[in-house]
Amino acid sequence: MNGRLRGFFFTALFLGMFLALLGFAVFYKASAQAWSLTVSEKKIGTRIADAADDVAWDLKKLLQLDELAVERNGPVTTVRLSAKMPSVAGDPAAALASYAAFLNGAYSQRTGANTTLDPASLSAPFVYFDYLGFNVSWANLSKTSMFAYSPALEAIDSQGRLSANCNATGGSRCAFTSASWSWVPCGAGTLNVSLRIADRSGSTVSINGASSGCVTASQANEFTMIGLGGNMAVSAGSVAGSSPAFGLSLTGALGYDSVLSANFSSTGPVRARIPAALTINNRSVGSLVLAED
Amino acid sequence: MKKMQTGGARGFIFTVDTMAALFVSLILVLASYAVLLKAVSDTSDYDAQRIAAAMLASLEKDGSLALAISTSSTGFFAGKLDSLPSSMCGRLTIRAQDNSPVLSSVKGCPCATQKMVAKRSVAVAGASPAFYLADLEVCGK
Repeated sequence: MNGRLRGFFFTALFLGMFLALLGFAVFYKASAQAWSLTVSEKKIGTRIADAADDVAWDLKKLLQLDELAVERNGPVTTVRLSAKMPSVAGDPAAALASYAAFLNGAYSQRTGANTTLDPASLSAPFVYFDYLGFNVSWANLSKTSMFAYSPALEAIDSQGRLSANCNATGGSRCAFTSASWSWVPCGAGTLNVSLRIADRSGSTVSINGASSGCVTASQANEFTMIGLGGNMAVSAGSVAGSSPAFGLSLTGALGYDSVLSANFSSTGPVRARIPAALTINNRSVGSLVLAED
Repeated sequence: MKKMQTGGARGFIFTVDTMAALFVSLILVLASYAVLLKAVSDTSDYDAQRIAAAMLASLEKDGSLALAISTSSTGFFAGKLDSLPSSMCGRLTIRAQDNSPVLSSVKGCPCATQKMVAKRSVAVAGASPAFYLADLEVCGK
């Protein structure tokens, strides 16, 4: 190999190295830019998620939902809800308005989340579950009444499934137990109860010949509402069905300082949400997830 | 293409154009390295902020922050700051709505520079609910 050829060889070699390095440099730069973009996008996404979780938790506290949990054990999902009734806040509407002002002002500025919450959207709060449309609602922020309802149960009446609503108003409890429940004379230590239970034809079913009356506190605390597949029959204060092809079971008392638990047979995830007119970083957040599994 | 040879040595041959090419490519590599370093730094900052946000959320959800406010004691969260990674320092401050500090606790060294901050509101329910803002600053030791 003479000197001229060797020179050409080294030139070609260095040129190749230059091109390789240039290629690496371009790749690194492109990667770095893409990475930076992803990080900034992540920051925006997590800021929204963090703010939504923050507001959801605050609302849970403000509404005194002491416990709201969704747990899964195999095919069965259990929902537990414990709520103080009535609200312990002296003026719950003013408290919510104060929270909204805090959120729209100091919180929005200091976190950079640019949040706005319309307190009017929570004037009649309700929690709904992503399963059968089951929801628990309160008529107002004072929470003097609570209503548990599943429109999906009514919707599937034609399939032989039970429609069951339970409404507690004016400080009364809603109670219906499957075993030891019975009406008792109203008086000290008893609780007024109203029931609305409809069978698959839509006809109201009374319990022991009555749809309202009084029960003892212990009976109310054993609240159970069971929806069963097939024909529904009511006898001696209990609900019995032919076969539990579908079951909605609420255990606990719907009432003051009450606990409600529901067992669903669900294969998919179940979330508990509260609707609220909330925007974070100019993005509308229609509902806030309070619990999920 | 002009070639430069030193003292007739027959070993390495550098030409002006390849040296210039190497110089330019070196600058490009260094520039891209600097950009990449910033991206890595951004990711590290993001991770630190996620740790701070998760810590703050857990402190609120286990009731530590509300208890600390209602009892005016940092004891409910001071010890829990120790669960931050050993390479991280943290300062948790609970502030009133006017931004004045109400409670504060520090884990490890103070974070003077290069700190990441996570913030979270704290609602204290009751007859007259009150609202605060907690911020957790974290930094490397």
